[in-house]
Amino acid sequence: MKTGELGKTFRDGEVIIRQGEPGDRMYIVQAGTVAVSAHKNGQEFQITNLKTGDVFGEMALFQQETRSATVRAVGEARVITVDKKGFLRRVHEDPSLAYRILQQMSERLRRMNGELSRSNRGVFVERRTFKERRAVDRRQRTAHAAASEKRARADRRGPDRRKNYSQIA
Amino acid sequence: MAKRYNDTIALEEGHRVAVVGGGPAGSLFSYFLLLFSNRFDRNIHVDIYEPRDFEHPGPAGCNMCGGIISESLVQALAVEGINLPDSVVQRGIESYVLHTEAGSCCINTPIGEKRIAAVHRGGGPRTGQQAKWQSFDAHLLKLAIAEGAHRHTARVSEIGWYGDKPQVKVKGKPPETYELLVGAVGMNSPDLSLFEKLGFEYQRPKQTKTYITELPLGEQLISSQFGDAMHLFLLDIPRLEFAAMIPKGDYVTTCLLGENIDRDLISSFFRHPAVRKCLPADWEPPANICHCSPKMFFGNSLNPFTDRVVLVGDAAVARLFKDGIGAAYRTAKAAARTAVFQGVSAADFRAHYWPQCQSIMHDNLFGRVIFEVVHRIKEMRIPASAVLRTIGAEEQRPGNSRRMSMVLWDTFTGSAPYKDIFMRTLHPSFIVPFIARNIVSALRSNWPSKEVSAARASQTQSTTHIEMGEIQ
Ligand SMILES: Cc1cc2nc3c(=O)[nH]c(=O)nc-3n(C[C@H](O)[C@H](O)[C@H](O)COP(=O)(O)OP(=O)(O)OC[C@H]3O[C@@H](n4cnc5c(N)ncnc54)[C@H](O)[C@@H]3O)c2cc1C
Repeated sequence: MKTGELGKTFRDGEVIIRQGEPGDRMYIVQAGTVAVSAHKNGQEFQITNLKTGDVFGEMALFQQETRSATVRAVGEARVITVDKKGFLRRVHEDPSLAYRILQQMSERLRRMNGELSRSNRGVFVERRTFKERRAVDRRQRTAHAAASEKRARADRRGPDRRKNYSQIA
Repeated sequence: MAKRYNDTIALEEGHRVAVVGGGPAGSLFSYFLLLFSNRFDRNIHVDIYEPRDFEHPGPAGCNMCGGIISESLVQALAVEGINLPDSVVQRGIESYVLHTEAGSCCINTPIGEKRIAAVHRGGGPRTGQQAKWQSFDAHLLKLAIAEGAHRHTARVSEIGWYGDKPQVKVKGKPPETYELLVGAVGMNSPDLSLFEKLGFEYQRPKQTKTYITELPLGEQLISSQFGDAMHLFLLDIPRLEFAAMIPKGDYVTTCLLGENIDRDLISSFFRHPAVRKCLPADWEPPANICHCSPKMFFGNSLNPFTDRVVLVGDAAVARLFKDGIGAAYRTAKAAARTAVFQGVSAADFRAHYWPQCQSIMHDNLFGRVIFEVVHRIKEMRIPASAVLRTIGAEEQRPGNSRRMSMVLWDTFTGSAPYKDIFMRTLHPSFIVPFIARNIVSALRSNWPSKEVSAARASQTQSTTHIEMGEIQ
């Protein structure tokens, strides 16, 4: 490690913050990459990777809640911790300090919206195919029903046919 | 002609701003002014006048300072997206060793992380060969230039008025007229008088003289002898307030603060056993050692703004004894914010910039009380040893419950406002154990053993000796 490296270094795979744990600090990546993931219904989902200058854990500064995701180092990563008390004091003095965090949050929201609308588009296409298939099925079923209705009507009209049927049967 | 809305003078598209001084205050002012105006797509022209080449070794390229970037400033810069790379930071500091007449103790960072940076402001000491690290001031200046500022390597020799607009002149060139003039000339410039003569009753801050020297100990020796710890000395040397040894790459920056620091004071400091203990046994400072005696902020300036003129950084206000660069960041950003979002009239600066200065001034009042108490404690052995005992007892506890350690950490690293620190010292769980340890220390030193009583009866001298042994 170089003498001038600031912050704390995490080894590959080491957890920096863990989903569900309480937190009162925010982090800024100084070097390397960290991976953000979340658990739902026993499954782990990769959310995103963050690089130098990116902020994480900021939600804990604004809400008294537990961490919403787990963040791990990918390779060796170095992060700097920002204390909640000092940060909030500064933001009250100078609200523009929160600008970059808002910028990154809105960027993440935009990316999530993009992903959501992409997956929504998938659902929409699936639904349309399903509807089309259902319509075709219905049409086929109606045609089929109409045909059998026609046959039944014909049957009701004459006994010869029934005879024929019974012959077939 | 700029528009005037009642008391406001707006800074508009195409307007020109002159920044005199490219130290931390000047560079950060320019950076934030351009950042904010670029966000609005407002094109403002910024000229920074700075004669120093910060890459140059020795005094010519250096803004003379301890070079500690405080914990709170490192965090604020990280949030701003201003990265301090290891090519600029020579050492991350993670603890400090406090030396008093009663002994020494080590205080570790509250969260086990390196959040204090030790840097060289310029291109390093004049004895340095090839600079291995970049200068901190050059790093900030490049940041401002990258944001769109224009750098002029020139000293401003005259300032004046052209109608209601300020004018700046450098030798051999015609004067330039600006919509806003920013004074970021620091404490050590004779050119503070240019602003004092501008006719708005500005008065420079009160100053105190200090001493800085760079000890060329070499990277290996520094790493083994000092590690990543800053050493602080609260010694009973007449006229010395306190001293610090800050390990960097190849040098240890040593700063002495006090009254009339002269040759005698400097040599008594380097002869003191607590200082000798930190240096190799037979080490003597070389003859051509790089040293300087810069002035430090000691009291507020008066009227640091008028219509179209504002002073920032040390020239306006700084924090007492600590985190001057942090104060430069705060005042520079507040002035830039005011200029872009409010305006550049005296009324604008009074309403939106002055409160930031006042908050630092107000906090310094608490700083004065704290340093007065520290000054008294350092002169008396019993409270000094009670402080060391308290820190020793706190060693195993988690960060926030180490009250004495955190009070000292924040006082000497400049990591928290002085008011915050002062309030923490009023907490019963700070005061009660400290008073108790004072009483114990006092009783122990006044409770002589039988032999001592006998010795005291015959010779008072020996008591002093035993007391010292007792405390240590
Ligand atoms: C002994 C000592 C130790 C210190 N230690 C620390 C520390 O460890 N940490 C900390 O945060 N602070 C420390 N400080 C305080 C710190 O140095 C200042 O608070 C800080 O430098 C203020 O920045 P500034 O930009 O206002 O002024 P400066 O850094 O002084 O910059 C002023 C600039 O203006 C330029 N200039 C001057 N006149 C003109 C002109 N006429 N035309 C053009 N340019 C001009 C100069 O060349 C200079 O570059 C210390 C101070 C002293 C004296």
